Amino acid sequence: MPIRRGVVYELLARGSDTVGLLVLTNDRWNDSRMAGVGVVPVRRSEPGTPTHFRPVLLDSGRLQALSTRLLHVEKPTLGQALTVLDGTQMGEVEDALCDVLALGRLCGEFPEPPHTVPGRVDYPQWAEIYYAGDLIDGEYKRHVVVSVDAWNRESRTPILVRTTSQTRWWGDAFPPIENGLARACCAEARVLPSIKVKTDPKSRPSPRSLNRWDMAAVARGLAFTFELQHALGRLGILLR
Amino acid sequence: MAVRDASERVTLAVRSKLRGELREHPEAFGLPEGGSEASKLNSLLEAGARALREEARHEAQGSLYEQMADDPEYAQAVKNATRSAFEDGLL
Repeated sequence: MPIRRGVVYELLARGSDTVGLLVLTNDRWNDSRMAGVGVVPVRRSEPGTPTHFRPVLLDSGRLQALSTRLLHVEKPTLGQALTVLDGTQMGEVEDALCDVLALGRLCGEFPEPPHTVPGRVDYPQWAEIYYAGDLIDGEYKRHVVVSVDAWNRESRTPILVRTTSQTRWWGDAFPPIENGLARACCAEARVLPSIKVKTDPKSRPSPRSLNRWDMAAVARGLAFTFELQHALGRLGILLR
Repeated sequence: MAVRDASERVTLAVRSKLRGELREHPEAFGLPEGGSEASKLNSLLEAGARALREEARHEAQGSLYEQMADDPEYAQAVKNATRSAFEDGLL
């Protein structure tokens, strides 16, 4: 079954509130033999506290795409196609993603970091590198936080990108960072509960953060992987 | 302040048929009817450059993804990510 960006697929799992998964990775990625795809969950709408990062309503408001809850799931998790989003709906999802990832600030000619958030810092912060997630080959992997601190503080589910020390060229989805010593695996961007991010200063990797130029490279990687060029175009940014 | 790219004047041959089509039906190329022929040709060049660059990028992306698909670290990462999305109540 071909998997297409912009389509909501049934979630093949029981006991979940999620109705479907909206695919966001580009179709070259989706068509390849990659084991997973980037998605956001689609659920039945429920009244919630309105926030700046609100979900995008679909199906006359009956469903909502949690457009800032980016996940990377195995392809067999997806069942049959349920609905195809129109350009306006996809535009809203794309705009929300650009917003939470600060792509408008980072993908311009002169990259600017997102605004800081006043108050106590008790959440994983934008551009900081942490060990996070589950063990892979017996070790926790380094991840960089790519979501803005307003979201990280409010949701307690920052969006992170795994980094790898494998340095061979794998294209736009894996931009080089740290002077070419590592790469960011942009398509694997996903939310993680803060509790799964090791923020204890004693268990932090070195370096502890990426500079704005590396973050701009990661932002470009995210934009290409999730095909957000049009959304950036709406902000007057031409991604080269 | 917006920074504009410098422009350079070039002389080149344009196929008569293409030139005629552009003059008579600029809307078919997504171009406005007004404006000079030079600005229309320039817009066409920009759009063509963008499209070709995108096409080349897509082609390169596809083959690079194929190479990366066999990476064992990625295979484990996607398994973990799927499992933890359920366990963490994100799905």
